[in-house]
Amino acid sequence: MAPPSPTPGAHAPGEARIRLCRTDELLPGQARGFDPAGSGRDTIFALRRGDAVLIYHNHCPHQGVPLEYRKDRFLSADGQRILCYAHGAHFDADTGVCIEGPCRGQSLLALPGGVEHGWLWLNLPPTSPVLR
Amino acid sequence: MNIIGPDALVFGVDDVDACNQYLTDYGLTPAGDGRFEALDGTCVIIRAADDPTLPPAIGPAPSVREIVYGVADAETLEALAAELSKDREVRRGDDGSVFADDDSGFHLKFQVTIRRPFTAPADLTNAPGHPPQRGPNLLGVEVGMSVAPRTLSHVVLFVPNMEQAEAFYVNRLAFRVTDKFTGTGPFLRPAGTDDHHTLFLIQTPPFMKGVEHFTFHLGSGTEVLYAGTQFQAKGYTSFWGPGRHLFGSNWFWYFNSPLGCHVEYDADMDLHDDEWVARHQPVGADTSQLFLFKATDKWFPSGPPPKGGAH
Repeated sequence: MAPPSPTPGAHAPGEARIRLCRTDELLPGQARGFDPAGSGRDTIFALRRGDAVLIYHNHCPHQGVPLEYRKDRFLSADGQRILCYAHGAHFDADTGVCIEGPCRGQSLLALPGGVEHGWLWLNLPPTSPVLR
Repeated sequence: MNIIGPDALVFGVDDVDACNQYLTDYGLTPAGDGRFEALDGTCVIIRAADDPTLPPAIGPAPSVREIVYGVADAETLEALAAELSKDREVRRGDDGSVFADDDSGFHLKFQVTIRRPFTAPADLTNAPGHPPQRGPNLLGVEVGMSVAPRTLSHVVLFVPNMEQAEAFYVNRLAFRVTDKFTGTGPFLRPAGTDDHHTLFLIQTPPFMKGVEHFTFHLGSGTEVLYAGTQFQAKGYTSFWGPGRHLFGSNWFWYFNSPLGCHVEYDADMDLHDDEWVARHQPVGADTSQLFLFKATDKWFPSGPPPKGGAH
């Protein structure tokens, strides 16, 4: 079997997962947005926490809007919190739970995925409504 | 009580560099010491959240720390100090400025305004049935034309008790309600300006208290669309707009920001005087905007060149 093509967002036909990026492209303290289904905006974002990589739906539980203020800018300056730059909700980066702001107690939707052979994978099909 | 409008907004932030870059990209002029100025000198001031010279925070950083109002003269400052010291602590600055909290706990400063007189061109329109404003050979638009924020227009506050907050600004500071979204909040105009509003209050739960957005006036709807398009092209996230509001008639385009609130481009707001009778309407999509658009990438009807080269 041919090795998978190194194209972010690539997926084999019928395969229910999507390649996002090389894990060494995801630096500690930074987040990265992705638009795996070509919706025109970043529908999900990923961040590294220690050895773990977390993937969240870019959808604030308060008003259902994108969180970042600029491409890939989802985190507080110290990288310890996810911030919604629409109305100031603060989320625990490890759990996705809102700890300050308008949707306190609600959570970002964590998405299934994982690291394999140095690549970050999203375990959802490109047709998933989350990616639209 | 000749209050003109906001002179400055002071923010305490966790990412000073990001805010500096943001406000510069927005179009304000860095003036040093954390100040980002419009053409008339009104400004946003960025400080680190732990700066000991800032008034106490009312929420987690980033958040607004002080709202600075410009007034017409020293007499107004004396009148304000006398009025506000009736029921709250008032502090005076060396220059006569007045410091006090409003009834929601926002830290206010009043100063003789820093607004500088300036002139800037209007967006001239050629409308059939009306004498042309732009004569022969005068072009309406140009790629790369300069768009600069002209003056700090208004600030919008989330407040836990909208009626109480309104009463303070109306009864103590002589603001007038121009229009009101029933159950949500009033648009307020101080005595020293004819702009539809320099302050809008929105009722929210107490833990949301803070700034919802602020905006500077640009020169026209075209400038709002052009500035917003360029801002979005720099990667900034559109929140709402572009569109045109009903109350105030102003063009709008709101963006997320690292300041802890939205930042808007606005233009072409209605003017009012004391003869105006406030409209009261429930807030909603149909009452808040005449129309709403969503920016898209530039496109041309013939589409991309055919694959595999020309045929």
